Amino acid sequence: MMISFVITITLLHPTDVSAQESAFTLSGVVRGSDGSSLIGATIIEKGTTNGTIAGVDGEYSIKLAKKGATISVSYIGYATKELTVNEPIVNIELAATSNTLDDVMVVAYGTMKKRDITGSVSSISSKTIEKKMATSVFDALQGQASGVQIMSGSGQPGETSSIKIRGISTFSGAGVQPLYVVDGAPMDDIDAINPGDIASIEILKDAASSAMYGSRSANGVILITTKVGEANKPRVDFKYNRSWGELSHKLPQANREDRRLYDSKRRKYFQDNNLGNPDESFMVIQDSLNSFFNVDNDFQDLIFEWAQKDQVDISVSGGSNKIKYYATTGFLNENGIVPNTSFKRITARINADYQANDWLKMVSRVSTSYSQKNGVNEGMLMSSMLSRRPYFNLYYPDGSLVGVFQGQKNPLAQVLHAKDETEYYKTNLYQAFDIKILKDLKFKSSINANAYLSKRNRMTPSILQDEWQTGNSGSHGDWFNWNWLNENYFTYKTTWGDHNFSALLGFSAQQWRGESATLAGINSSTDYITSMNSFSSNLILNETGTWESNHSMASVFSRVTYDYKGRYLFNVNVRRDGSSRFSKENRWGNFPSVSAAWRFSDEDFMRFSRQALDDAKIRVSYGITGNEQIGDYEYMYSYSPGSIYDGIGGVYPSRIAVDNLQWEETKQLNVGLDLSLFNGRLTFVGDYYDKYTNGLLASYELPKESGFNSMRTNVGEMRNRGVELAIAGDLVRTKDFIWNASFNISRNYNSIEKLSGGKPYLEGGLWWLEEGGRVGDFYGYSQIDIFQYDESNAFAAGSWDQLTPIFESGKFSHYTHNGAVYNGAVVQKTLANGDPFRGGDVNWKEAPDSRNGVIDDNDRTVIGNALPTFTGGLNTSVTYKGWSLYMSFYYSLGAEIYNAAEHTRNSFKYSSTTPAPDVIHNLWLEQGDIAKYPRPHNDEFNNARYANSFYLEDGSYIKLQNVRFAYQFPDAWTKSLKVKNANLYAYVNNALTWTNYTGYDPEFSSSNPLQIGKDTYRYPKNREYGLGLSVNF
Amino acid sequence: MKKRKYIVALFALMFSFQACESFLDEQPVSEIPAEEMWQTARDAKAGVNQIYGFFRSATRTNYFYWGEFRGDNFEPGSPSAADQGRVMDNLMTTDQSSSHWGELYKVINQANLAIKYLPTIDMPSVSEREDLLGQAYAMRALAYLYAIRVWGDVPLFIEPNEQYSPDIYRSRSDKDEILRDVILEDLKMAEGLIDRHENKERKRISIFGVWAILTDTYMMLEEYSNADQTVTKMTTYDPDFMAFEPDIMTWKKMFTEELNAKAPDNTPDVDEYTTKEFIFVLHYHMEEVGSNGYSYMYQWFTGGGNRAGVVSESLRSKFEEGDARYPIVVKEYQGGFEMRKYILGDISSTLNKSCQIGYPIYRFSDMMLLQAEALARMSKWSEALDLVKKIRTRAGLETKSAVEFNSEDELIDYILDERQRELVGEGRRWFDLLRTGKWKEVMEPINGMSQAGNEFFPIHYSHIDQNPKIVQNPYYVSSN
Repeated sequence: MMISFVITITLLHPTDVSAQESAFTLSGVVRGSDGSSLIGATIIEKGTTNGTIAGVDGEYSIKLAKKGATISVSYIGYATKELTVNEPIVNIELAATSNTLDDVMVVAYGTMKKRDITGSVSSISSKTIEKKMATSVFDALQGQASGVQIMSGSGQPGETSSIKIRGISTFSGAGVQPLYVVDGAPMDDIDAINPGDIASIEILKDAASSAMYGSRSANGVILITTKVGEANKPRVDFKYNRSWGELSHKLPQANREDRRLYDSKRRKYFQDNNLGNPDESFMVIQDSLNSFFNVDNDFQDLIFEWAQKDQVDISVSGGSNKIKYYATTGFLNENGIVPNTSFKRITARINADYQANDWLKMVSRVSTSYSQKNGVNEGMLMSSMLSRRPYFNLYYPDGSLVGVFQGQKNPLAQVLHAKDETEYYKTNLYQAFDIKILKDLKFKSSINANAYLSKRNRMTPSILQDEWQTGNSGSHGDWFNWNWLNENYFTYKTTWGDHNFSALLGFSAQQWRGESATLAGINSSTDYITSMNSFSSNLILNETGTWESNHSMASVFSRVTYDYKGRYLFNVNVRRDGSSRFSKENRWGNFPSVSAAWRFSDEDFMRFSRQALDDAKIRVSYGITGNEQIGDYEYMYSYSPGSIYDGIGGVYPSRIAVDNLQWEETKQLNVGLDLSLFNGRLTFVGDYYDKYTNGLLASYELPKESGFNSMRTNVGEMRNRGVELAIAGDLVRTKDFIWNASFNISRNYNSIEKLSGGKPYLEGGLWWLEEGGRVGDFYGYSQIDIFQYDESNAFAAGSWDQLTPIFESGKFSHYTHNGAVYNGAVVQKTLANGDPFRGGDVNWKEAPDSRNGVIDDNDRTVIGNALPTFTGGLNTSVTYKGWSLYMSFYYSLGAEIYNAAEHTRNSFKYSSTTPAPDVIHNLWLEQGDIAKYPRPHNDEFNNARYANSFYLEDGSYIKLQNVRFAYQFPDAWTKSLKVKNANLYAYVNNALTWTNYTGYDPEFSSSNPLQIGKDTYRYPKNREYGLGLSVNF
Repeated sequence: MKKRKYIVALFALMFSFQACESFLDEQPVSEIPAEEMWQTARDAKAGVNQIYGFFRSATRTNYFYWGEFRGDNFEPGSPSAADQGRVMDNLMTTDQSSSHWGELYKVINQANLAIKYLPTIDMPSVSEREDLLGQAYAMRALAYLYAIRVWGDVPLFIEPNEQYSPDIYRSRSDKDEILRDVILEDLKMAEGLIDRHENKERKRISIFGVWAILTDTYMMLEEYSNADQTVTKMTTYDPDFMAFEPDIMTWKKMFTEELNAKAPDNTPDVDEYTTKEFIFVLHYHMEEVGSNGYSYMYQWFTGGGNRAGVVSESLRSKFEEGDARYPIVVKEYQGGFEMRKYILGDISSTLNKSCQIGYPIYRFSDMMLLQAEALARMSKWSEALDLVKKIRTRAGLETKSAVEFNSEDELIDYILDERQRELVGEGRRWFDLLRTGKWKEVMEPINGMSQAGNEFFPIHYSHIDQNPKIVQNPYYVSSN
């Protein structure tokens, strides 16, 4: 960018290059060592500003002052070559290098050479994104950068992902997402960005890199730079991908025989124990000839189908010296593995840079997208699909579809008839003016506006309503958000000898406005009309209304950098942010950071290592970043409209007043080491960080007797420490054969250091938050096993060692302990009312501080944790001539998952719910059964108590996320077709998963950072097989 | 040229300096800042009305859990009604939804706000303000009356919580002190404040509502003479508005038509009911409650697949031959004896209205029978039986005379049995058993309830997690 800018300016004044007598014209072709034409290579006459750019086929032509002049030829990814020319025609070959240290990276409010970076930044190029066959930015990033954990939400088309940078450092859902900055403009979401438009992604991980974005940067910043055209290089790109997806694996589910076995086991249990109506399950199926009750359905086979995806991207780019443009349009059409679930997206983008004159440059970015998502209530669908009795037909004998039968919704009817359609309209406009005031002093002013509109239409027709409810129900919601941002800053950059100095000073103002409108109704006169006009006679008044809320921020920011010979680098940032989300006293927050780097490889004492070590740098940074992601008025004690009672709307306090609601602040120390070896063939980046968050903003559960549920407050302090390593290398590099690989691994240690009043609390009924604990600690009961006999509930008094009952001719005789007859006192585990647990009940483990024989709420302990120990990725690509194979793995190790869906399915609470086949075959039925699962009836002994350690599973996984096999057509073929470049490829996404987890997928996200790792059965991800073609003209 | 670019830069600079302090003052649009609330008559009405809205959510399921399922009126209706079944079978655990008191305390906090701020509002009509204040006092009393009957001792708040402070973490206060010092005193305040002329609203608290809660309170305090006098006031105060309905067909109409889909109105001075027995009814209308807040009067009591409870064998056996209420109250349907007191016809015929049946909290016959009980306790047996006779005659039954009873306890049982038959499905039975101490005697043969302390519900475990000062009821936790 910088280089081409200089050249552009030069070319503006062609007359500056005065034609001298001895001038001669040099021409030729620039090629890479692999023989490819280096279109766009820069040729500069040394010591002047005279230069040119290689055109089509790498051809160039330049007027030089005299014979014997020295030219410098450079191209990104190749070693720069200097040569003295005497001949009029010189063909130049550049050696490929993977030394990327001179690459320009995008940083906050500017760009920087990679070698000058003092913070912790990961960069991902468009080449990588292309290989990942991504349809969203998240797909592209997954497994690519250390310390960045991306969890895709579910397999539902159009579903977004969650991203965490360096662990969970806040308690609130909105705050855990990093800040996205696209071409300098902050964005609330990046779902509408076509990954094909992206030139590079930079992830700012430490405080020094991100603190320039102050208040919204505590969880890192993701900078996305979209492509721009290059002058005099018109280019048309066309890409088409087509893929087919299938369910990667099915879950075990009872078939007809299993369910009948379950019915008969339950009948026996009810008869033996003299309970309820033993024949209750059988009554419906006693007619063996009734086809309605005697089918054998595999609901997973019936519901899931092949998914399909089409993706077309077309872009045109190019420009002249004064204007550079990039215009693109992309179309994505995806149908999921569940019928009637789909996602369509059209994106369009126009990027243009205008050089109006020698001091004013204007930058325009316009992007817009439309998308449409047809969704399904995944939890409801999955549970009704997996627990439905397999012998129930989905159709009545007359061929009509079953809606609700015996209180269970027909999964097929849900898929075919329930409607949940959302349309999204997103537009972003960005204009910036770059003004060159003095040679070293520049001023930039930008205005950015984002508008998002989403319209969601839902309709549950009467076929899906339980018989006692009124007819059907529908709703329509509009959410409109828009925000504008004005940023202005001066930059000053100068060099005195070996001293490089730069400074930046700026200020910005930003405002958000959110509006929503909802209409909801029930019992319309027809199921045919799904829009809300048919519901107008039966609107639900308390769900109908419009809402508005506003938020604004003002900021001042500044940065100073200094380096000496590029060897000692210093960087200081200060930002001061004001947010309307806090009261006047607490409105402003200061976010300073400092960083320094030492390129010790340039020191004399390192001379010995130069043979191998090209570059070595130690980086240290420390800074404070902030978070203000809470509701717009949460500092304010206010009232809201409440319930309508007898024609009058009520008003109630929306929240309790809280003193001193403040900014959440994260202090972060980062120490890093960058090494580059063997002419850039092997690079190593390591970082250690220590993040300490003060004033965690959280929704804190209040005692309900206060009349309030929760309050927003600065609830405590949390620490995240960790290590990240990334290694990349070209393992083999010959003319025809290239093999490179990169690997990264991260380890994060989370600990909750302080909680309000030191008081632990239970979050969402499952997660225990306490000082010294970790986010994601599951809290519940521990299951030891199932008592075999009533008499098995016997323990030695004092030691609580379990005794073994001995039976003689079917009658209990005595106990043994460690093989010896036990005659001591026997104690039992009981309920609080003294009733002892029986055979077939769960033998619960008592909490160490509550060993009294009574199993009650005090016996809950922390039973596991949802945070992974190691995460990372491995990417490798092999290229042989025109053929290339790319593979991308990512992994998450050590996390545990609470399989809540399976717990619910197997809790024996409802006779209509069919448990998993393993449960049916291994449940306790009578005295003496050695069982894995308890008695098939949940009574006061509450064997289904929540949460149960039994349903805690190892959630570690390694995924082969992408495999891509590509062929690049030889130049000779493409030339004849007037095509510059053509690639044909086949790929598999979500190819393989290695895991012990028994659910559909161990990878799923949750929007609440505190409620993680609970699987309620999400829409399963598919395995996608695709073919694609990309051509550029 | 040079100059021009300085001008542009300067202009941009000025433009951006608008970012001043006032820019950051965002006032809420869809919320009311607290200092703007409680200013006008409209605020007063809205604030008090919310008390009823909260009370409706608090009792939507608990009306049945607390008042009916805990007693002997119902037995489990279907296998899918696990939670209801566990209350009926005395198998309650601390995760039971009916043990959660959050919604009830919202009623209390809202009433506390109204009690604090209503006196400060300058309203055109003082009597209207006092009437609203009276309703707030009465509703606070009613909420605490439920709380102490369900959990025993409960935390006490008589000032609103508006500002977070350690003071919101309170331990449980003695139930008898709450009954005497808070509930009774609130009701006496309300009695003096309620507008007796303009407030003829059965869907909110009128003077009759105050007297009904007061009667209940006196009965719990065993102040029988006061209870008797209070019911007498109700009988004589306005017989055109509040009176016993002697006809059984009117009785039927009262439940199946008068409670069903009553249109919302905002006219307390107009009585929109054609029958005279309802004192306080919780109003349900689909437009107001939406698809997640409908009435359970229908859904929990019909259909083999998902009904919560069916009329128990013990209650059915208590109906005498020829009791005209029996065919109205009980219908055998899909393998169970359903309570059809509120339902006209079978499933399909009433589908659209089924989710908007109001909950009767107090009814005049209830008061008569309480008075009878009070009189019996005061040894006025024949006066007591005169009242019972009215109820029984309506049902087409003969009534015993005083000489046929050998003891007060025998007479009390006679009255209680009548209450059970008359008031089934009205959320009263368990509280009768609790008040008279007969819960052990009645429930032990049914579900084994016998240990002291078992008469109270557990406190939801989350309340204890959130406030360590709360101690669980001893029946549900080990003592360490």
